[in-house]
Amino acid sequence: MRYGGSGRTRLLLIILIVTSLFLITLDLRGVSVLDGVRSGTQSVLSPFQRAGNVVLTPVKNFFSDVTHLGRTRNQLEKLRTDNAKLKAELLNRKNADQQLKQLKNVLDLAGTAGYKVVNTKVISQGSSETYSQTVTIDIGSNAGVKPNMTVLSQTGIAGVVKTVNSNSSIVMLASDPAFRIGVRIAGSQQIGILAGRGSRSGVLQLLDNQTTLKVGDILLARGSLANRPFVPGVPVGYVTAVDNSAGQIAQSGTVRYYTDFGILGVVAVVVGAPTTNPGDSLVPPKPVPTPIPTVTVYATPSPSSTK
Amino acid sequence: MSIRKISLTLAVLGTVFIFQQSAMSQFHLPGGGFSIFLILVFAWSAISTTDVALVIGFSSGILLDLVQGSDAPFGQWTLIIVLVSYAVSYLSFGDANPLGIVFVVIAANLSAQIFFLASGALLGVQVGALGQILLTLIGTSIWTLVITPILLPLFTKMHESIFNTRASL
Repeated sequence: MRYGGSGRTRLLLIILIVTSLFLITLDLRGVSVLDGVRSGTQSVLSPFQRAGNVVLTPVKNFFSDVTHLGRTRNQLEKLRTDNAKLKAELLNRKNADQQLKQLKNVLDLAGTAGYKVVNTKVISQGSSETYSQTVTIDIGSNAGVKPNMTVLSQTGIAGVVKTVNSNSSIVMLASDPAFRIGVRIAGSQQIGILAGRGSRSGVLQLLDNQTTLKVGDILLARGSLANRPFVPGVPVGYVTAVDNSAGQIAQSGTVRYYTDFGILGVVAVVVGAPTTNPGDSLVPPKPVPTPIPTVTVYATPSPSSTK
Repeated sequence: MSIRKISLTLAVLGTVFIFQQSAMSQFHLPGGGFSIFLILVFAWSAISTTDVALVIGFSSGILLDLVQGSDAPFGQWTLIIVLVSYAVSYLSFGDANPLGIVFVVIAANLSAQIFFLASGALLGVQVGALGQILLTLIGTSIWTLVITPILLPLFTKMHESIFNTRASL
């Protein structure tokens, strides 16, 4: 049965549409009251998100393992035998160890470059309805965090602080479609702009038409004026494909971020920039190929039983 | 609608919204995951009269606009959810077929996201690569198809207890 409602209902529909359009106009004109309401909501939500993070972490790890099963099947098979004895203990310690590892790597990265960082946990992934790639971290202005500060993961850039509340902050991930970062190719002074695409790969556009891009080139953050939003030298990703199509003024390419945005657990906010530019010192070492053991078998004929 | 019914509706929407933002947002599900909150909103709209659906749509749209991670202007979700909720109620109120309700919820979810993306593009919001968007739309639709039949009986019971009307399911 189709029920369109009475005249009063249609009037209500028109009033609500007009109200929505009024709210959109207010926001686009930059009325700060609405920002305050959003900030207040985040302040209310952050304790719940913190609690959810604590309660659901074991379940989250299970889902993460299931999601990555295809990629890590061989590794899991190998580890299964070794882990049999320690399984019970590992179940309890898995989360702590993972966060400790991430924390150690973040501190190593920050320490090498001389960044002053504040470490923090990710307490919530961004909302699935918004098509924006964000996470919520459990520190805010009380810990010295300000908008437009660089956020590091254990392997490189994670994103930039978007909004700050007293005890939590929203971080725009480098994978967000609105994310833009000036990058430099390690070992050279070639520069370009990297844009997020909503996934772990980004699009690099070189600025100089005299320079060339190669697959495997490593990209580092170029740094911003007064080191905000980006401090220099942070590893960003590496080039996986180069677009050489004719008609382009400068080369472009596809870049894979070092950071796996799906497993962010511990990140660090850079609250103090280094006194000197770290240059290429943070370029990650190239993976060393694992040597394949070769076994040579000499065939020795057994003595014949027949004479 | 009485004050009591409005208060109870807002309480349920608020509770599910907090659950979505604090618990469901912990999981990085493949294909973009699903929103229990949107499933509730559209399921309730489908079994309510148009005036109730408008109130539900407006309240839930405001809640979605309050999520700070979004680049979308405040009011965009409100406008979309009001329109989609009204359309859902207009088309589905009185439908006795649970399967029909499930498909209406999926279609409403998909429509809301497409309207969000289209209006976002008009307003200058960056929404990402087309391939990624398509993957997310397909992924969320599949998730919604899986989750809605599980949650629909619960949501119907809650609706029935607040509005004191059987929802014909």
